[in-house]
Amino acid sequence: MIRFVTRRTIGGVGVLWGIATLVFVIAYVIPINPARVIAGRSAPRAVVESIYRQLGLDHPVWVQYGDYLGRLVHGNLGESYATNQPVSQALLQRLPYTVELVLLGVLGEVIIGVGLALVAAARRGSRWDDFASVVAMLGLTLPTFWLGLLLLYIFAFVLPIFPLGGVDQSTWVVLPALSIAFTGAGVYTRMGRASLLEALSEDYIRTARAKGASHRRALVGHALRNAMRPIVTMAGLDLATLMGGVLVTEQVFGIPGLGTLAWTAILQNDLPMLEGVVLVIGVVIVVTTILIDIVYAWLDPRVRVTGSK
Amino acid sequence: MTRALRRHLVAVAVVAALASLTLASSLSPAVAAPARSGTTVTAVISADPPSLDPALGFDPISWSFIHASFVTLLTFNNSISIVPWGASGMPSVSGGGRVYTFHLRRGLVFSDGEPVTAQDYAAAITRILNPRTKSLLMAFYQIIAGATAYSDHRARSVSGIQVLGADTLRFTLVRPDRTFLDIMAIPNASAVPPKVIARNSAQFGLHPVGDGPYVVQSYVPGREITLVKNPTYFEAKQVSVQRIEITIGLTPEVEALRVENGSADVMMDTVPTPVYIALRTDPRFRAYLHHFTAIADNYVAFNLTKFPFTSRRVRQAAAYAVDDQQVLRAISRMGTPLTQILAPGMPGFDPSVEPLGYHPERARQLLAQAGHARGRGLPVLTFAVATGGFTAGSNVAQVVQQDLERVGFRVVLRVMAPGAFLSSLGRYPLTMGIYGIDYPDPYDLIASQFACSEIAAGNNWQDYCNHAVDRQLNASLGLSLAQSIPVYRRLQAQIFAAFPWIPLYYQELWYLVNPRIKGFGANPIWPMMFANWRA
Amino acid sequence: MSRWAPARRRRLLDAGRVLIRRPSGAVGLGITVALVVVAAAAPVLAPHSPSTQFTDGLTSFGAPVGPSRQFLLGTDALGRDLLSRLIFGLRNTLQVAVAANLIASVIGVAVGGIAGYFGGWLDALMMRLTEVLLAVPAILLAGFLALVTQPSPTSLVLIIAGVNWYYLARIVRGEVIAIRVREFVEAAVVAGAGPWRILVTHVLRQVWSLVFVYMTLQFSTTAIFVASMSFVGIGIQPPTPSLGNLIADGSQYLTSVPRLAIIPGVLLAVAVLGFNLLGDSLRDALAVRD
Repeated sequence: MIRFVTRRTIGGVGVLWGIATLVFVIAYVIPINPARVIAGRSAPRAVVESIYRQLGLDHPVWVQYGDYLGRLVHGNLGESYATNQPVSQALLQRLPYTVELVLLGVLGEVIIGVGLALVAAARRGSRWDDFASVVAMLGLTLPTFWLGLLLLYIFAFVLPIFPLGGVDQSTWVVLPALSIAFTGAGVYTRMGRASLLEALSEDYIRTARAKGASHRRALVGHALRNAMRPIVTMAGLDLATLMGGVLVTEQVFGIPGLGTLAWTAILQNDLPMLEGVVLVIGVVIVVTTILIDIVYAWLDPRVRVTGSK
Repeated sequence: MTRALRRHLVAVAVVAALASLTLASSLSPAVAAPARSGTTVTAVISADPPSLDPALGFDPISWSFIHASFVTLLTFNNSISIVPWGASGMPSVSGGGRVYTFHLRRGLVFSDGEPVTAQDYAAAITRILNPRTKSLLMAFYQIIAGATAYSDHRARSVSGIQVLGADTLRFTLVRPDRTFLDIMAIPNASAVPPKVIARNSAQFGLHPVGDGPYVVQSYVPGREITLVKNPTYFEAKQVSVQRIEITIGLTPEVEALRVENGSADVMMDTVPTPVYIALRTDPRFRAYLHHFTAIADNYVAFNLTKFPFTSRRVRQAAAYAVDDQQVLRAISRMGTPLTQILAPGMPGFDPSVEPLGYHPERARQLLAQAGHARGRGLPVLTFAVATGGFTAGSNVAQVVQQDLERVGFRVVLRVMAPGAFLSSLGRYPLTMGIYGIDYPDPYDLIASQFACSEIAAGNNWQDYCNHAVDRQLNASLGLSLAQSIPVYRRLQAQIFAAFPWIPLYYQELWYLVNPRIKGFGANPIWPMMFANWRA
Repeated sequence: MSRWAPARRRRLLDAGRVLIRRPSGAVGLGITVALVVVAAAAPVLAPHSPSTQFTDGLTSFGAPVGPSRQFLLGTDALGRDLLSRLIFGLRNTLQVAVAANLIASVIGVAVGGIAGYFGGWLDALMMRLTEVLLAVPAILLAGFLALVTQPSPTSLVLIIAGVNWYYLARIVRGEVIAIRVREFVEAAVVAGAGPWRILVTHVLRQVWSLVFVYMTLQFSTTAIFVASMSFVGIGIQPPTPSLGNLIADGSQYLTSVPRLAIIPGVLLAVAVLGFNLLGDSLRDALAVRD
């Protein structure tokens, strides 16, 4: 197990290097001159060129890459081209909001999704199975931002229960998290139902039931554990995607998180900020993936051996 | 009833329920909450002001904040005349119009207790000219003697700025230029505290310290700004609102909802079109709407150096092809047709000039005369449009595109983020243009957009260059404003007769403000005059 | 078709019959076919061109006009016929979503299958590559790429496929690893079958239903991803309609002219419902056959 974890961690560091390089390459390839953007449209050519030199953009690419990696290793993420604010400071300010939103959102997805899947699998073929499928399908068919707009209008304006966007009140997270949970739960319901049904028909479940364990205990105890495998994979990937994918939800609700920070950075060609956001999200994702792999290996010991060939 | 059918009906029923709930509730939105008391004002804005640093902030929103926290020697009053503010009177002019001497008034002090001196003003202008500051305004102050040498690292200081005592400051210019008073009145010419700057110049915009009516108590980028009244401001008696709390990051539609239900007082973005349409006829919100005309041009720029717009006939055809009334409808009539380069409110604007009008048949004739009947021989034209508040939206671009295609042009839209847009200037035959004034002198509107030198700097998106016009523009700076107006009227007529643009409109800016706020100013140069508000 | 073995042909026909007999399968098939027909026949079906801005399509103050004989569903913010834009929007969205989904799934299955079965350095390399790609949020990567490329439907399809294939790759890889150690696979190895044959004939067939379920699920995710890209401005470019940018344009009018955002949203929902129902029933039908 220790070797497994160590190998995964080293792999993780490699992935982070890969992300940093990918971001550097894309930023280098973009046909936009950051000095021009900083200098604004009124600046004479001399000013633009001076800024260009100050940013070190006239150095050969491998020198820029080396400086970039060196900077990163020391934890210096540079300063925003737009505001001169240290990137790490901006990230720390924004990270808590996105993390809170994503965690609650995924939690909601899993609870709603697996809950519905349990209902559907336990009463397969009945009215409850239908109900679960309908709810799941409904969620999947709605764009998150569309549902978010609807929830905002109905539950924050028409019925002023929740705040109208922003994060100035403590209940700010409820509506955006709900919009994420409801539109994402469907995936878990389907996968959960399919996996549960498959697992329920496995030999060892039949054996457990033949031995006298009740239907429900068999379901929860054995089937769930095995069915959780794709669910856990999915939840991990979900957390990963959502860290950046919530950007549209963040925009609708006006949440000052990483998503809106990244999008503003793209629009303003604020490359240090964009690199910083992508790297932070990358760290979160890599750590999450490693944890998921460990849980995966714990759930299915066969993987520990075969997965590390 | 089969299972699947049941599933369907339930799904459809739920969606229908949601839909009808929305439809029903849109007929009767929430009643405005009772007005808040106290002299705290809440405002909402969709994005951070680009900078609160006087050396860097160069857009109307940043200017509003800088103007609220710093004092310039001169300023523009509500009739956009230049009046003294930090100076005790207008400067004395000598040396054939090249030497300006200012005297500071007494009582100016920074919010950290340091007194403001003439040296601080000198240092602030020098800081703008320092390339390390990366200021967009370097070009503006090159009119000061010795500025170019300093910006090029050939001199240690700016020879044209002389400090003659604690409260006397003298500027010597390269040549007579009446717009020097204008560039001393824009908020960028504010004094900044030298000790704070010495500690951290690059991040001064995140923690600004000034001597103006308000102090920036806190600024969390992307989240909020809080302004509190500055008790040591020399005219503090005239400032009514004690505290302004601004939430950053909401979309304009949500901002409008907040003002409508009373949880915000002021919406700092202009009202979006759909909200304007809905609220225009709603009696409850009539008192909330304020409007005034921006001193700005909205147009489509032809690139005069790119085929087919090298031909004046083709340009004229394109200009006649666009239905200005349809364009106005696309912006809900929040504007009037553009008739000339100068804009309403700008001295020298000629209200007697008629708009070009909509003449599609003449457009087709002109195209045929130019050898491109029904668009024959014309390439596919790329039309560059920027998203965001930077230029007119893509709605207007789509109207223009359709009108041009009706007479035979083939146009494809390229909508870009502002950064990409800036980097691509000059590359495309058609560009959606907007130009808002830097200061209220007609020279700014004409020279910034049509002088040869502005091609490299990027404001002259038409790549228009006429050296005779340039000479007259330069000469006009030595004249007084009244003397120069006939010159500008003549020049703008001459330039316009060459059809450099498809004229679009002058924009009307509409704002949504709770009626309990009085004194919401109509100063077109910066929309938010915090110091004028009374709650 | 005639090259296939008679037994296989019979099995497919049986599966088809099972599918149609179930009501959800029939309805799903019906919706999907209807929408595909509408999308294909768009130039014929739509009463007007989707980009024509009518002068009588806006009130004098520039507001959209409501449903009338000329405009069956009313007009949009620029006076264009909403119904025509819906029909063409459906067509454009379907084209992009199906193409992108197909490309992404093919790449995902291929990469995931090879990585999971052969293991070793191939697996490690592909895992690292997908991890790097997974660590950059799809919409950010799409935004980044959109900055670099010329916007066109082709580049849009490629960008979407490019930011989507690795999810399926990892899931397929996970399942293939679990299946690889099963008895029937080991038996086939012992029997002397080559690795490619085993991979395709034995292992991939086990994951087939999972992939199919995922593909039909992914259609909705892809369609909504396109909508999100349009919402932030990097999807299908104006004035070309797509269900996504119709919702985006209409969302500004949610409180004043709700039909502009709600009707495209409902159409998108129906399309996704149809595909999901079809996929569900197909999966059940295929599982029955195995």
